[in-house]
Amino acid sequence: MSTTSGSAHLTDEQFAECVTVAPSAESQLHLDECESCRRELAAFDASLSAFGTTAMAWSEATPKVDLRAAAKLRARRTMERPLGWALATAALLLIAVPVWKNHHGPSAGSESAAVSTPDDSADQIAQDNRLLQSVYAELTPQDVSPFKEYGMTDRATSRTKGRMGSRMQ
Amino acid sequence: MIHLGTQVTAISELDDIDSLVAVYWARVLRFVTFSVGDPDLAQTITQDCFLKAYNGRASFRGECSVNTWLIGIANHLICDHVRLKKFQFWRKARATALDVTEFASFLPSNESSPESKILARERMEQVKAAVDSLSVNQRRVFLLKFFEEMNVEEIAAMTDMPVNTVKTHLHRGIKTIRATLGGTK
Repeated sequence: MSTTSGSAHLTDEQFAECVTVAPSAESQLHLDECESCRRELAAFDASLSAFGTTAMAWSEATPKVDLRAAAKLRARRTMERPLGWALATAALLLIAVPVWKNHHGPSAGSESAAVSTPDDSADQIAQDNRLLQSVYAELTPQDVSPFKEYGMTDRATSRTKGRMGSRMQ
Repeated sequence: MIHLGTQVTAISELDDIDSLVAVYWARVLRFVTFSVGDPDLAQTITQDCFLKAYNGRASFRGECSVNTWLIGIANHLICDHVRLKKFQFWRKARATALDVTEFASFLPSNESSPESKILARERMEQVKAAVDSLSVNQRRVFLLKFFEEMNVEEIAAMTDMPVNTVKTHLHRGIKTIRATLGGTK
């Protein structure tokens, strides 16, 4: 602007200064001479004032929130939140533990099944005994001792037996 | 200097949440609504503001008015919401933006002739559109100046902005509104 020339109007800076603080001496001089700027400044103030008043009327017409109820609701939510988390965690554990057991459990289960005998039937026990006897028979030496074959006495064996017998007595 | 009597009055005023809402709710809601541009979000922020103020009333030292204190809390809450991406989303969506026609219906009918009323309404709608077009920071500063009638130093203290930044925001806001209203320039 060039307020001194009289033909120009207030610049944005000068206009803002007039609105926010107060007109400078130069701006005041221009305003005294320029009716257009005076009108603009007045219209600006009036528009902003109307805007503020309308906004306040709108705000007052907006229903107020019941803060006591809101505070209670918020407190209840705050109380319910940890409870909700606890319940969710418990539910998760209820689901997760059996799944984990099924995943990691079978080897331990099979071992315990192999060791456990209460469920074995009498037939099964008899069969197992026969198997064990046959295994024992297989392992027992079938060959006749060379001492017996030639009618000789196994001194070492008899000596050991004699010692063992004296001890036992 | 704040007189002890003033402080005691303010503190006892803060103890009664119902009177607090009755006296200050509309003013805080107005500032928040026009700062964020979303009436629903503004209701939530205003509610948060009053609950925060009530819960923290012991920290009020009476260095400013209760209104300024509340506006300060609201201002911080607005900043928190602005930082959230959720706010950015809602701002873009503008799903619950304040309806300008509904808003204009609250214009006090002081004008004498129907033509004057129409003109006043148009100008008010123009101002609202111009305010909406400002950035959040420009708008906050602008509203603190013209709604709350704070000076530049008070705005700077409340918004944690340097005085020159406040002046820049304010001048840009005024320039935009001046252009919208059809300045003489």
